[in-house]
Amino acid sequence: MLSVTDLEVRYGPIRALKGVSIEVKPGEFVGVVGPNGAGKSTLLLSIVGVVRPQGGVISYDDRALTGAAPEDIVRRGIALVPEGREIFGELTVEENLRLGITIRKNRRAAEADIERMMSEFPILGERRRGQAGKLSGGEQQQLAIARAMLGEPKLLLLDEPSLGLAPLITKQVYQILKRLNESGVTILVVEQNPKRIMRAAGRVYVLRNGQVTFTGPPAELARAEDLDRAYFGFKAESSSPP
Amino acid sequence: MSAVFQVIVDAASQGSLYALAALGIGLIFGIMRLVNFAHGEFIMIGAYMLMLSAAPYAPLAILATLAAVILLALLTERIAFRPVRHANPTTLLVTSFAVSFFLQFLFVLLQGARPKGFDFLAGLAEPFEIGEVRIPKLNVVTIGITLVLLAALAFFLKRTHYGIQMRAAALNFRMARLLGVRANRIIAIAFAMSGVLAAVVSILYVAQRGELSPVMGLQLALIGFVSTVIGGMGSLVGAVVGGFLVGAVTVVLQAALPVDLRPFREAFVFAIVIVVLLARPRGLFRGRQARERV
Repeated sequence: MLSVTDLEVRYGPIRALKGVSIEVKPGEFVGVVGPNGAGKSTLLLSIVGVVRPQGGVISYDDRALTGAAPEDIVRRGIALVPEGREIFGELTVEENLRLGITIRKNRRAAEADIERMMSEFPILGERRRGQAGKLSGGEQQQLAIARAMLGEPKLLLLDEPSLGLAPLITKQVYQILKRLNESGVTILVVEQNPKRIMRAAGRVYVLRNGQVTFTGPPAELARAEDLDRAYFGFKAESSSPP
Repeated sequence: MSAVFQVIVDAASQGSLYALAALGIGLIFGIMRLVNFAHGEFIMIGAYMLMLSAAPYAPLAILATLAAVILLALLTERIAFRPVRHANPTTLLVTSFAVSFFLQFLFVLLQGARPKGFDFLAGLAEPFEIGEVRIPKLNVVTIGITLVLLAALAFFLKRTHYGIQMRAAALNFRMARLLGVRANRIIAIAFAMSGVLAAVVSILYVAQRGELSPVMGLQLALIGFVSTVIGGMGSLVGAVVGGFLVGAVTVVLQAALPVDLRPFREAFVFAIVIVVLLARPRGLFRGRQARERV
């Protein structure tokens, strides 16, 4: 479905991604974890056309994505829920959702989906005429996911969906993602904190210093030694007191 | 009492023109973070188009003016601004000056530098008389057209898909594009709308003043820009309020200043502008000038 091969991204003299290759198959729930500055967001922004890579190939359904504009990539069926949600705070909840149907051709069906989304996420229905910026962090995350889903993506990318959320809210967000995945949406999530993603994802990549240092099922990565090696490049010393 | 009412109507009429000029500049700034000084030349070329097409039938001339200025605005965006859309703000500003001077001197070449007299809709100079108050019909028409345009713009921005997309793009263009909003289309719509606003200003300005010249747009663009700054760059409501304020101050000074000082009216207007900006450096309404561009 999505194939990233030898991706190279530089910001001036800094190499953010150094030959990164990842693969996402239809129906999968894939996680990418790694410390701050590892290149996770750059990877997602390259896929959706915001960042122009200097090398490598990104293809989706066997057609190249590299060089395409963000507004064309979303029409191919890839939606991004970016870091920090990036909802339009000065617009109402309903207007934010309405922006989610920008690419839909059948307006009547799209309008019906907005209503359905508001019943699926009741808080959005309750606050439909309120300013989106006044929602709590968890509610904004629901709005960002609902807005992305209204474009009927086949592949949903999420950048740090748990950032700034209380553990209980994070759990709810991941339940929503699990439900979406079970309904057939392929999901690629990027997280700095690996704990939540280890429970949800079927396969995990670890990204460190712009390189993939681990690929495999979460259970394999969960062994402390593997996680330390993948994250830090060495086995961390025990910090327990003597 | 009648003199006060007269000043209020004059201020509203003058303010309407400035508000429309400010809105045309504010609309493009909101989307592209571009201060389009060539907006003044859109107004100037609209005035010449009106003069050149006025002979057979006035409504046709109005339609021709609207079509010509919309086309000019779209061409300017396509040829001059799109290639530098991702450049730094200085490049955009220099480009807008270059377009402005190019169009201005093109019309000096084509039509000569001297102002030309042109009576358009002369019948509207007749006043309504309500008791002792005499209100020129043109002032009422100007205020009426401005209110209709403001209402139409508010409806477009609040109620239509493209309007919501335009507001989203002004807030966060990158996210809007990630949701499928087409950058080229939304910017072209904004330029077409600024073209409509410029054309309406040309028609009303020529009808009020009865003359036109290649440099006539310069002052209107400057006042439009100052009005958007006073209102708060990036705020459309601010641009409209700023335009009405500058118009009102101009008319009130014209009435209140001693005759000897009236030729220096603009100096007093800009002194008041400086005082307003010293008190509120970011304008009356919180603008969004710090946000990222397209």
